[in-house]
Amino acid sequence: MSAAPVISAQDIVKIFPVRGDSGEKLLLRAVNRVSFDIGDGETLGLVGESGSGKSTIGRLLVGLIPVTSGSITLFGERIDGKEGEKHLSSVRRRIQFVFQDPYGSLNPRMRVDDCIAEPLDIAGGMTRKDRADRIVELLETVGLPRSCVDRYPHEFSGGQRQRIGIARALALQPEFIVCDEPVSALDVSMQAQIVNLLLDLQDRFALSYLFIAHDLAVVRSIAKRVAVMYAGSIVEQGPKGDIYRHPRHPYTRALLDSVPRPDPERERKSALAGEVPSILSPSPGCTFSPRCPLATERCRIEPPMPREVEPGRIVACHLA
Amino acid sequence: MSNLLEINNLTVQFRGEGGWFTAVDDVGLGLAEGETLGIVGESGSGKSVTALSILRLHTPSTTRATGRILYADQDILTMTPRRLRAIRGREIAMIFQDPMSSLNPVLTIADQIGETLRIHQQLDARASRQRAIELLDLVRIPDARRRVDEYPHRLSGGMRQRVMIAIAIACRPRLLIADEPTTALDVTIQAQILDLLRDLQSSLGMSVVLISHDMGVIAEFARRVIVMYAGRVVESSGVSDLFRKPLHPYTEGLLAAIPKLDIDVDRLPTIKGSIPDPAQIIAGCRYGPRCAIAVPQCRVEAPALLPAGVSRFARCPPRVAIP
Repeated sequence: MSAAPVISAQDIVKIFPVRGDSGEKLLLRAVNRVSFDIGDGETLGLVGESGSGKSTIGRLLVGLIPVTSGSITLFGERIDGKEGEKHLSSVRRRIQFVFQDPYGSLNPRMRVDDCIAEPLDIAGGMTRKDRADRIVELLETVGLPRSCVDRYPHEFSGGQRQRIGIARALALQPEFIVCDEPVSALDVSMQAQIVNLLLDLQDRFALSYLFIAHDLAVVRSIAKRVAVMYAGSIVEQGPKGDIYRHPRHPYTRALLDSVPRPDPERERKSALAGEVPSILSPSPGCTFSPRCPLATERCRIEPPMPREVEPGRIVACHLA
Repeated sequence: MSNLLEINNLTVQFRGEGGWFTAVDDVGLGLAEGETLGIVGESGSGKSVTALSILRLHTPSTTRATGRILYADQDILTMTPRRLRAIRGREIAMIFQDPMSSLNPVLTIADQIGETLRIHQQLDARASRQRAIELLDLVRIPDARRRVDEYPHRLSGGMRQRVMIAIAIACRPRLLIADEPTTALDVTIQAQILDLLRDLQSSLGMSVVLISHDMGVIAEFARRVIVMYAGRVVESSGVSDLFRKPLHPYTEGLLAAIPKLDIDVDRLPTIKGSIPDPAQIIAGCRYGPRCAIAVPQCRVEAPALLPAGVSRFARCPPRVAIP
């Protein structure tokens, strides 16, 4: 990448201490040595199945939880909580979060104007009039009528609620937004509206996004680059066109082959066998090797390191 | 030959705070032996309500269902409770979206599969446990002999859905109703479950009603498709025709709005507005307020489901009237 990245994650690891079935202490490695950069005005799509660690990465980036090791920098400043918390509040307002569940992420007892203005109120220093003007401006930005202000979240549809959530995320004029499955709870006809809104907002405010989703087609419609996660690691990342046209990691290929296409004439390839392994007892080699149709003896013993197989294309596979 | 399942003029109303509202309005469909029918629609379209009605699973005190649901020429809506119990789980089985809340957390897998077998086939505990193991093998759960004694929380989402399918096929039903069977699952597991359902359907010769919001799942699985919107059938068609040339503007809009996996697009086409609230009363065509081709008449007169070619129907006079 030419310019300095907006946000950069280097070798981040997140380990959660958990209890096993018989109460024993175990370490769950939810994120395992993950690195990526997101450039100015760029969207990185982070895809993976449940338990892949993609949401944990989103929470690490916005500082909801601290990293175990590795570093996260925003415009070159460390924000991973390792270097003291003091300067974080000024940095963190430059990062915002849009949640998956438009029903659960808005306080049902708060009016829409208070929901949207909550970040402004916490930041402080606004007159009553400036606050009201800003709320109206934010509502218009996300395509909601100004008459919404004194209504409550339950009066809105899922799509409209997600617009409220986006308005709130925009309140402090962030440069970077983590969108964690922002359209997966929505109907198809609403999904397209919200995806397009996020694209429009990106153009207008030069926003950078980390767009987390399990739906590969949704990610293709919004991201410029894509990272594919499996069992805590990024197995492949690169420009989206390359990834979707020529997946280099067998898991990426299997994922793309598994999606039922809206085309009855097209035969889906047979399903990938097995399930995502428990990350409590990972195999010593490649975590995907137990399901991989191409796995060799080496794959089962030696974990593959991510390497750049072509410019901008990083794959963690011995066979790529 | 008459259809295995034939629904005529089904209307389902629920009692809400402001009185009765209509969730399903004048729905009709037919399903032949061995056939697969897909019902597709978004939230509030009435697809799940229609499915639940087939087994009369709504709470009677807050539900009114009228019309006819003929299963093997007997009307389910007027059937005696005794006769209905004999059909449920034996001739017509159902699987749901969320396998965790459909399984009882304090009973073992053997108990839960065995329940159906003991009730409908009068098997004793030993025989039903043996049969449960066979069924787990059939739905491709590895190590069935050990798994049969486990509790649902020990199983992954995909394995739980396999258990649900094992319960559903335990008595070799003639009709399987699958309501969003793969929606809660990861995409690689969804592919496994769809493969399993297809294999079981052909080996057992079941008819299947598959309910889904996912056009990809419908395209892959169904032979005939019914598209529902706001409680009504807006289009009914063979699967190839539907995807090649959708007739109703809603079907067209829905297909266009699906994010594309195989090509890059700058912006997705959208359908304007939102899905109407079920309690909201809309004059004329319910899709009218969102429709790009609506004519003044659409706002006044509720359109009928009109024939539009060989076994095709669409509820859109402007589209169907033009040759």
